[in-house]
Amino acid sequence: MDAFAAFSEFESLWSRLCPDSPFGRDEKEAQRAIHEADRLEALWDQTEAAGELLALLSSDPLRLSRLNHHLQRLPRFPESEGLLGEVELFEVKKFLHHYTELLGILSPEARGTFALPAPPEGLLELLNQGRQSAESFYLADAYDPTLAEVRARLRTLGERLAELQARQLGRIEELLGLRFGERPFLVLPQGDLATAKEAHALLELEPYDEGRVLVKPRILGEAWALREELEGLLARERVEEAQVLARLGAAVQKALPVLVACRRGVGTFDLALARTRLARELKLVRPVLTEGPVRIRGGRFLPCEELCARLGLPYTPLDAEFEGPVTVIFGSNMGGKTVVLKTLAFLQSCVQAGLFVPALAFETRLYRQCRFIGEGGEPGAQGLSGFGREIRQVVEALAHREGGLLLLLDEFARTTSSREAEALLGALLGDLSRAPGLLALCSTHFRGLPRDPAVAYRRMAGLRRAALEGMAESEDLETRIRRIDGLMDYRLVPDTGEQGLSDALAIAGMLGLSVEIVKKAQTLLGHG
Amino acid sequence: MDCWQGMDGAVTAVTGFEKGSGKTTFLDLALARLRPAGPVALFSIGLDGAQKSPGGNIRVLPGDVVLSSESLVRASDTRVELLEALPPRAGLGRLLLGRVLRPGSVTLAGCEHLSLLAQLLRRVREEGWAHSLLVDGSVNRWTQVAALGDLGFVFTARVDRANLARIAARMRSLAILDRLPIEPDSQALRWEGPLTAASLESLPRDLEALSLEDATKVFLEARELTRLLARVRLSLRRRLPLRGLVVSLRGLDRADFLDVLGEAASYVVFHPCEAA
Repeated sequence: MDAFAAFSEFESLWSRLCPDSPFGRDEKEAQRAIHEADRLEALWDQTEAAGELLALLSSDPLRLSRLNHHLQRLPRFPESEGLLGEVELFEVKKFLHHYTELLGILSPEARGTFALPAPPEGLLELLNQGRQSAESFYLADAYDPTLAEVRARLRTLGERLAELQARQLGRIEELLGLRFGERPFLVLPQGDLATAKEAHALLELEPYDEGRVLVKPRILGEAWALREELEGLLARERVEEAQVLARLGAAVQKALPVLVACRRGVGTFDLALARTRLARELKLVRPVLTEGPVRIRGGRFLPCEELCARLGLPYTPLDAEFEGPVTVIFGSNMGGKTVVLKTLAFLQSCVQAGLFVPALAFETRLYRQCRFIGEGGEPGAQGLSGFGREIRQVVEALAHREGGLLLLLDEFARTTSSREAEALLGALLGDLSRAPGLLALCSTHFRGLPRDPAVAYRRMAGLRRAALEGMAESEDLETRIRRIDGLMDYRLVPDTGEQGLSDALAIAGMLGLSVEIVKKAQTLLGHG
Repeated sequence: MDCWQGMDGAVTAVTGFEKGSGKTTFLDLALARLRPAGPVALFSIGLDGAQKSPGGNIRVLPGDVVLSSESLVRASDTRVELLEALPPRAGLGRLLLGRVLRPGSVTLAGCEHLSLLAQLLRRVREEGWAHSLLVDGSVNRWTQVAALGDLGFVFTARVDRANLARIAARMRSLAILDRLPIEPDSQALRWEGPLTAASLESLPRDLEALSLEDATKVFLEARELTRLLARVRLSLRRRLPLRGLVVSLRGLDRADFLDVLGEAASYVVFHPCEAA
C-alpha cells in the first residue's frame, strides 16, 4: 500500500465494497485508480441505475432475493482455448443457468444499461440433456446413442454380477451358515471351517492370526468372465465419453466470445449493485467533476466519524473550498489539521475508485498522481533521516506533477530548524503555486512562513478558550483527551495571519503538564 | 458402544491409528449402515489419490456424494453427477464433488486446504445433498481436522501383542479426554495451542484448573495426562465427541484386551468383519 492510500485509510471503505460474484470481485480490483472522467461518469451512472433497480425491487423482496441468489452462485468458467473436461462443462452450464435466470429478473432497459448480452443460443440446452438438474452436470446417455447403448450393457452386466453374487452369498449362508451381508470379508476361528468341504469351493481363505482365518466369497468362473466383459465395456465407455466431451467442448469454445461478454456484463452489474448498497448504507453522494475549485460540503472522513460515534463524541463534517493550487492550513495541536488532509484524501480516493463520496457535496478534479508526505509516509533509503526522507519524497512527487498532482504535506520539515524550515517551505509552496494541474494542501505550525499572494491560508478554528476552566487535576488522560475534543472547534476558517499562537501551551496544560511550567512558558512568550 | 447412532446425521472423521487399521473396510460398512437414514457424503483429508488404486477403493452406490477428482472418477467404474467444482490439486487435476449415479468403486481425493473442505462440508449440509458426512482422516492431522467445525471422531486400530501397550495407552488417553467436562466460559487459565510434555513445565506450580480448546490439542502420553489430572482440574471449551474405537485384534483375546483398556473399554467396537 502506498503512503497516500495508507494515510487516507481508504482501505477501510474499500473492503466494505462486496460484490456477490467472482466477476464483480474481479471488476472491483480492476477499478482501484481511475483517471478518465468519462469512465468515472459511466460508473456513477451505473451506480444510479443500480440504485433505481434496487428501489424498484424493494417492493418485491422475492425477486430481489432471487437476484442475489443467482449472482452469488455464478461460478468462474475457463476462458482459454483448449480441451474442456466435465468439470469445465459443469462450470459453463452452471454459469449459463444462473446468468439466464438473472436476465429473466431484469428489464430490457436494465440489461442494456449494464451491457448484459443474451447468452449463446442453444448452449444451455445442449449442456442440459438427459434428466439433469439445473445446477449439476453429467455426460448423460442422451448425448450419444452409442454411449447409451454401452451404458445399457454395463447396467445389464452389473445386474447379472449382482445376481451372481447374491446367489453365491445365499449358498454360502445355506451351506456354511455364514452371513456376509455388506461385509467384504469375515474373520473366523479356524476350526469353524475345517470340516466343511464346501468352504474351499465357495470361499477364499487366508490365515489371519494364530487361531483365525480371513474368508471372502470366491469369485466364480462365470463372474470372472462377466468382469472381463465389464472391463472392456468400461474402456469403450471412456472412448465414447471422450467423443461427447470433444463435441460439447467445441460448442463451448465457439460460444466463448459471447460467454466472455456475459461475464463482463455481469461483473459490471454486480459491482454497480455493490456500490449502490454501499452508498445507501453510508449515505454517499455522487461527486461532481470540475475544472474549477475543489469544494467540500459536509465531507466526512468515515474512520474518524465512526470512531467518534463509538466514543460518543460529536463529529464535525468538513466544509472547505480550495480555490488556488496551494493552501496552507495552520491550527492548534489536536485541532484537526491532519483530519482535513485525510478527509480530502479519503474523498478523492472514493472518486478515483468510482465510488460515491461521504459528503453532502464534493466537487473535484482528477489527479494522475496522489502523494502524501508526512509522518508514516513511505520508508526512505537507509541512512536518511526523517527530514532527508521528506525531501526525497518531495523530489519524487515533483517529478510526477505532469498530468495532475494532489500533494498533501502534513507538517513538512517539522524535524529540522524552524527558521530554515519556514524558508524552505515558503520557497516550495511558492514553486508549487505556479504548477498547472496541481492541488497542494500543507498543514503546518510554522506561523512565520513568508506569505505568498498565490497561496491561500486557512486555519482550524481551534480551542474555545472561554470554556477552558474547570479541568480537575485528578482527571485521567482519557477524560482530558475527551475534554479537549469537546472544546475544539474543528471548522476550517480563513487565516489572516493575526492569530499567532496554536494553543500549544493550553493543550499542554490540559494534558497534565504542571501549571508552573505552563506559566513559565507563557511568561517567556510574553503572554503571562 | 453404538457408534452408528452418533454418526447418523452428523459429521464424523474416521481416522486410522496407522496403515492397515481397517479404516477403509470400516468406511465401506459405515456407508452401508448410514444410507438407510439418508444419503451419505464421503470426503478425504490430505490424501494423495495417486497412491491408491486408480480404479477406486471405496464402494459407492447411487445417491452417495463423493469428493474426488475428474481423472480418478473417469478411471473408475462409477459415474457421478457433478455438484461442485473445486480448484485443481497437483497430480490429481480438477477436484469435484459428485453424486454417484452408478454403483462402483472410487478413490477419494482431499482438498489442498482444510478451509476449503470446511466450506464444502457446510455447503453439503446447507444444500441437503447428504444426511450423514464421513471424513477419511489421517491420525497425524487430527488437530487440523478439528478446524472443520462440529464433528465427532471414530478411530480404527489393528492391535496385536507388539503394539498392544502403545495402542491401549492412546485409547485410554482418548477416553479420558472425551470425558473431560465441557466449559466454554471457564474462568480457569486458558491454554491456547497444543499442550505437550514440554509445555507442562511452563504451567504454574500452584495451578488448580486449566481450560483447553478441545481434545485434539492434547499431545500427552496417558501417564502424563493422568499425572496432570491428579493435580489440575482440566476442562475443554469445545466437545469433539469420540464416537468409537473400532478394533481389529490379531492374536489377542477380546476379554484380555478389554481388561487392559480399563475404562476406555466402553468405547470399543470390534470390527464388524470379525466374528465374536
